[in-house]
Formats: sequence, structure tokens, C-alpha cells
Amino acid sequence: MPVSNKQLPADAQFIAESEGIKEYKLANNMKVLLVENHVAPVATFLVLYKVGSRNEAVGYTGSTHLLEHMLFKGTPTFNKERNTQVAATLQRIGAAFNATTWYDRTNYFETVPSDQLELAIRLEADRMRNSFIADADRQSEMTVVRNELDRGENEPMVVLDETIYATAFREHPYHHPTIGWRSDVENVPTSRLKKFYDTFYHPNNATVVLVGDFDLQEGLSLITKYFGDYPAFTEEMTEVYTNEPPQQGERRFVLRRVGELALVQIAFHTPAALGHTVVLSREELARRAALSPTDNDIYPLMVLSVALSSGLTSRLYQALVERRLAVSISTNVDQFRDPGLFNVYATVTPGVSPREVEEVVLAELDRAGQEGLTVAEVDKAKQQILAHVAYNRDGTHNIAMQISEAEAVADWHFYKDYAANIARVTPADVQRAARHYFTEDNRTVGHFIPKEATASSDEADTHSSELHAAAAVVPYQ
Amino acid sequence: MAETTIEQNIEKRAGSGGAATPSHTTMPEATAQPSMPLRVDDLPEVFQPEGSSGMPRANFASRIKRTQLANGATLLVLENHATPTVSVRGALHAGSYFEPRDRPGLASITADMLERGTKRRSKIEIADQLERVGAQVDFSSGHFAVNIGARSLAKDLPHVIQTLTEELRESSFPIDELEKLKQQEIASIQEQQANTRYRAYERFTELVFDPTHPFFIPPGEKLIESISAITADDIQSFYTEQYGGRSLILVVVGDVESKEVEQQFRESFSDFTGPEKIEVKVSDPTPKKVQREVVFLKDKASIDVVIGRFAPLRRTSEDYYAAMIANRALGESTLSSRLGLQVRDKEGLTYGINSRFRSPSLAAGPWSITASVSPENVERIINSALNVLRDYIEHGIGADELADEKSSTIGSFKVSLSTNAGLAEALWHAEFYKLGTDYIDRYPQIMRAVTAEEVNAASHKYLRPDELTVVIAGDFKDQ
Repeated sequence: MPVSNKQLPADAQFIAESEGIKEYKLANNMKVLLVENHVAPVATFLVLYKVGSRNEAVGYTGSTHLLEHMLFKGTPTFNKERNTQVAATLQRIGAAFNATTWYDRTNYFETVPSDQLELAIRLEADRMRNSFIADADRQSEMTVVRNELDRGENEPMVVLDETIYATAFREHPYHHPTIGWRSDVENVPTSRLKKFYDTFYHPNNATVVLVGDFDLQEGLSLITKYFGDYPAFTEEMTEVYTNEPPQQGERRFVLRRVGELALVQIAFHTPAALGHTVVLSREELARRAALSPTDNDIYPLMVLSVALSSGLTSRLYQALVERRLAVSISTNVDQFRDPGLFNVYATVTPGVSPREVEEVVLAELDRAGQEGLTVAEVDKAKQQILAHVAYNRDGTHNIAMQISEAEAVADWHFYKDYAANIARVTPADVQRAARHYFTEDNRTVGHFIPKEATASSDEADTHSSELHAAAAVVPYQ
Repeated sequence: MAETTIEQNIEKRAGSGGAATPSHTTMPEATAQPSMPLRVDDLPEVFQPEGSSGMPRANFASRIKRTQLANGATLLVLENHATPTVSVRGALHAGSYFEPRDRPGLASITADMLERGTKRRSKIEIADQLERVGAQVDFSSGHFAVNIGARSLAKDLPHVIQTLTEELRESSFPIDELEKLKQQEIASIQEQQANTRYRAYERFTELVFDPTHPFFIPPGEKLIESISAITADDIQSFYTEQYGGRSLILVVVGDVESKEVEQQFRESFSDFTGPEKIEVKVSDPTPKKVQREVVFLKDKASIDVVIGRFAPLRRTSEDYYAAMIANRALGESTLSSRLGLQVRDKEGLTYGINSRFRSPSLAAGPWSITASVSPENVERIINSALNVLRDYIEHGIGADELADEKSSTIGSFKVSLSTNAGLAEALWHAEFYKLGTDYIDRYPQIMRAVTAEEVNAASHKYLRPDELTVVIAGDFKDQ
């Protein structure tokens, strides 16, 4: 539907519209996506920066994430001294806010009562270019992040997953975790963070997303007012060009640490969200996203993933959990900017050997390739995915987050066309994908073996407790 | 691979089992349902023009349809035609408080067994029909309530309510399913035993509450012992004793016609009788002197600390709202509360520090400060947090601080009402605690009326630095 340009702010240019998502471009090349949704008197404002841990290298892994933390440390306008600390300012208006970093992107977002929208926009615009990034702040925040890292290290699943990625990716930067390697987190100089900030935090490397209860003209005017004065960054933004070469043979490792239950994780290299198998430059990615290729194995892989592990009737649940070989099972297919992994995760039932669980998983994956899935299985998986797409349209935050993820790995059309592309998947597509990706040479297998039982009964419980009363299996409610 | 964030919701992640699937892909994790397949054209629009099909701005009370059957079963329906989905939230009084003292875990196992087969259909048949339409129906046991949660596309709601009714009323508790479930539960308890946050909190409840108190969590091995011994007879008799329409609440929010939902609710539950006992009477524990204990867990990089006490606050207490504000200023946000600003932002001691009334519910529950910290900073974080607490108790809440906390809680309440799930939760909460259907509309004025004197009185009453129990869990030993 054509949209009149006449009431727009002077330097906002209408680019495209589809299914209620309107795309504009400011004069400084910042992309703006607007979705009016007046279901409730709230709005979600989100700023996505196309920089993530994929842009890091040896010596400064984790710096994208550390920088994300630094953006809560203040600007000349929003700071503790003036009682306008970033978080306090957002907390005061009841905003639901956070910021997250991942391989391909960093995002900052808040859902606010709609009469507070201007404050949200002003604050995000301010910290795009005016954040302090002070050395003293880095030092106190480094220990915060190190504790975040330690908490992850406490969880066997996290450590196993990190080791899988570090093993399956030898050359491409998905090799290192977003949180970073410990000594890099501890030692990265503030100047390096500042350099990241000054290279990537610019309007022409950002997409802002506004979803909710606002007036279109007004929303766009506010965004233009606060972001419009920043110049586009004209120097070169470093490109990632490191390709992961095809894996030549199975990789396998065992991780022995304290823990209670054994875990098995099996990973296979898969294409990027847009279906490509090599790293693309910004320009190449944008071109490919514009074409919105339907010939993309990500969709059959997604259907395969759901059919294998989502719900009681799924194949792996039946083969493992129903047969009491595993306590839980799940699968996931990465949908990243660059080629990612298809993962199978199993928690092994005490007394069962991880090897047996692995063999059952591999036999099921093999069967999916040899015999394919039934039409009924494929239809069921597709229905489940489509229902999730519907659930994820409940609430402005959900919609903004989905659009943000699509922008990080392709562009917003990836989100808009997702359901249609899933609906198009045939049983033959699924079988072909299973056969193509689930091969021995393409896989990485990790076992987590508990080193010894934790000292629960002998050392920890120094008192004798009688038999108790009510049991809450999960105390945190 | 997990993304990392500036702040994480501790409650959601605590002791969670399940695989390390990313918290967000563009797509789903596991789900579980009906008839006409969903076509792409049926998907909800993200664009919702003003005045189209969304919620009117004010006064929820007049739009909530509340129905109470003769047996006590209560239904609340709120029509929201914004997206073609529906959220269901409910509860009945069959939580762990009602289980026999010598059978911890029974209420939880019974609730989980509801999903494992009925007199009409097997577990697999039920799951298959739900999964075909991407619907979910879940039961889980809490301290007092068995919680009901479901979601589906709106067109599938009749099937969802039918399934939910069948599971609540005609479960067959098959023995082979019970054995499987017990094994899974035991494995997940074992896994929790290696979790520093879980262990710190578990031990804290043992030190603060008597074994007969609902908030006391039995040590892992006792729980495993009890669950291992549960029989199908135990479940059947607990079910017969405790399940019935008398305490049933069901809340439905979404793209539905309230008349149709009400009709089905009547047909489903009018003759669902019992239970005899739904009253909850829990006396407050005796206050403890300052005490401290370490739960040693080897080779853990991060320590979890719990500092707290029992707080004689119930959801129905007059000073409930003042107490909520008193705690918010101290430790609601790990980034901007008093604790957050000092312990995290200034001293950099932790990724997460919060204070919470754990369950201001039908009984007085725990209030605690929780934090993660590296082993060398344990003493420092305890001292720092206690200094913040003492200073707060001594000087009270500031005028600006009070104003900020009020606008914060009113704003975030508004934000929480922007989804079907959020609305269903708020309506359930109002009904469960008998706050009235106009509670949602009254909330802002209730909060605005709270005074500094009331907040300070609540701080003195509930956040007492002289009665704190400290538990440290991880690779740490007291000197």
C-alpha cells in the first residue's frame, strides 16, 4: 500500500511497507522500522547495533558484551551524579528494559507506558554517541561480568555448549563464546572498548524498532529529532571475512567436571539464516536479504528440529525419554548471520551410558535421512511453528524482539516471510536436509561426564533434619 | 548458545533443568494441539490500528465476565480480539500444603500425573491432538495451589478446555507412567543438588522454617526417598481428597466469546464436587537469632549467598503495598536499587543482587537478599549488603525515592497488562487472593496512597537486620 510522504519529517524517507511494518531511512542512513499496535497503552523501543561477538578476535573476546554493560554507566545527561542514572531513569517510569549481546548483534530495549515514549527515545539516542566508557567504570564492571561468566561456568550445560562451539568452529569467530574468554574479559583495555564504540555505534550501523501505541508521524518525528543530528560514520567498518572450512571428519571430546548428570551434545554445521554457506559482507548480505531466497535449507531444518524434539510425540522424545534413556531431550537450529549449527542436547538418565544415548540419537537422525518423515509429522511440526509465530505476536516486546533478530541476521522480511516459508516446506525437503547435514564428517560430539557426586550428604548437611513437611521441588516461584 | 545480558531474571533461571537451547531464536522450543489446520493467512496482524480490535483504555472491571458455579468453581473471561490467540491461567487448592506430612513431593507428582493419561485417552493421544495445533496445557504444583496454564489459537480453545477438564476430572494415573515420572523427578532433584543457588535457598528454608512449615524445603535425599516411595494409591487418595471444583479458578483472556466459554465451563465443572478442605492456616515461625552456614559444593566458580528471614507478611496484610515499596527501594532492581547501586554498580561485586519477599501468599514466607559472588569476595558482599540494609532501616526511604518507586510500580503494572498472558496472570492473582475484579483498575490509586511512614514501618517490621540467617553455597569454607 502506498503511503503518503508529505507529512513525514523532512529527513525521513519512506522505503517500504509490508504487513503493517513500515521502513524508513533517515538522512544519516539509520534504518527505522515502525509498527503501530494500539492493543494496550504501551510501546517498545529497541535499538539494534550490528556488532556482536563475531566482530571480536584474539585478545578482546567478550568486549562487545562488556561494552553493552558500559552503556549503562552513563552519559553527561544520564548519570548517577544528576540522579538520572540510565537504569534508574527507566526503572522510575516502570519500563521493562534490558540489553543483550549475541554473536551477530547487540540490542537495547525498553517497553514503556506510551506517554513515556519520548524519554525512551531520548535516552537511547543519547547513549548511542555520548556514553562515558571510562576506565574506572570498566574496572568495576569487569568484575560484574566476570561474576556473570563464573555463574555460567557453574552450569555443566553451558560449559558443554561452549566447548561444542569452540570445537566445531576452528576458524570462524563463532568459535568463542559471547561472554568471552576469561583472561580477555579481565585484561581488555578500555581503549579497545572505546574503539569498538566509536567504530560500530553509529546511526548507519543501527536499526531502530518502535512497536506499539504511538502515532506514526509523531513517532517518526521523535526519532528524527533525537537521532537525526548524528552524522553517518564514513570510515570503513571492519568486515568479518573468516570462513569456517568444511569439516573433514567427526570431532569428539569428553568433558569431566563435577556435576550430577551426564550430558550428550551433538552438533552439525548448517547454513546461515538466509541459507548461504559462506560469510557475506554487509553489502552482499543486504542484497541477498532483498532477494529473500526461498531456496533455503533453514526452513526444512527448522521443521526437522521441531519434529525431532518438540513435544511428547516427537521422535527423539519417544526414542529416549519414553524409553527412559534420557531425562530430557531438545534440538535447536541456529539462525545466524553466518553459517551455524544444528544441535541435539540430551540429559542422560542416571545409570545409562552416554554412548548409548548418542547411538540412539544418531540412529534416529540417520532414519530421518533414510526414510524421511511422514506427511503427518511434517504437518504437525509446521502447525507448531505457525502457532508459535502467532503467540509471538502477543505484545509489543515480542514483536520488536522478533524483528530485531531478523534484522541482525538478514533483514525484517525474514521475520515477515517466516511463516510462509515454513508453510512451503515439503516432506521431501526435510528428508533431503536430514541426509545432507546429518553426516559423520560434519558432526561434533561432546560428552559431559560428572567427575564425582557433589558433597551433598556428607559435607554439606551438617545438621540432622527430621522428616520435613511440605515439599516444593522448585522453590523459586 | 546463550546470549548474555545486562541483567537476568534470577527466578526464571534458578535450578532450571532442560537443555541449553538458546533463550531466543526466531523460533520455538517445545510445545504441545486441534482440528482445522492453521494457514499462514490466519496469522495475527502485527499492525493493530487505533480503535480496531484492541482493548479499550480504561476500566477493566466492567469488561471482565465473572461466573461462579454453585460448587464454588469460578470463571473469569476477558475478551481481547487483538490477536487470534488465547491464554488460560487457573488454580485449585491442591498444592504441597495439603499433602500428608510424611509424603513430601506427592502434590507435585499428582499434578504432573494429570498430564499422563485419562480414562478416555492415553498420554500420547492427548499430546498428539494438542501438538497438531500447537496448543499447550500444563499443571504444576506450588505451595498452596496447583497452577493451571494453557495457550492456544483462539479457535482451539474448546478443545483445550475439554482436555483440561478431562485431565482434571478423569485422570487414570497409569502405573508405568508413574514410574517414569518418578525417575525424571528424581533426576531433576539430583541435578538441582549441584546448583549453588538452589542449595543456598534450600538450606536457608531449613534453617528459618520448621519442618512442618509449607516453605520448608526438605533436603534433596529426603525428597528423593519420599518420591521413590510414592504409590499409585497415594496419588489416587490425595486426588480424591483434594481435587474438586470448590477452589477451582479459571481465567481466559483472548479472542473468544465469553458466553461460549461460560457455557463450556458450566458443562465441564458444575458437578465437580469437593474438596472438603481448602482453608489454609499456617502460624508464623519463631524469629531466629543471627545465624550463618556454609553448604560446600566443590569446584564451583561462583558462590551463591542468601541473607534473609521469615517475614510475617501475607498477601492480605494491610501493609502489603507498603512492604512491596519498602523492598523495591532496597533491592528490586540489580541496576538501580540501593543494593544494586552500591554492591553491583559501585563495588562491582556481583552480576546479580536482589531482595524479595519470596511468596507473600496465604502464609508468611521468606524475605531474602540473594546474590552471586566469587569466593574471595564473600565476606565483602555480605558486609556491603548489610551496611546498605542497616543504613536504609536507620534513615528510611527518601521522598524522591518513594515517588520513584510508586511511578515505577504503577508503570510496570501497566506494562505487564499488555499481553494476554500478563492480563490472565493479573486476573488470576486478583481472584485467588479475593481482591475483587476491580483490583486492576484500583491498583494505581492503591499505590499512590502509600505514605513514607507506612513504608518505613514496614521496613522495620519485615527487613530486620538483627534476625538474619546467612547461607553461603559453593566452593567455600568458613575459617
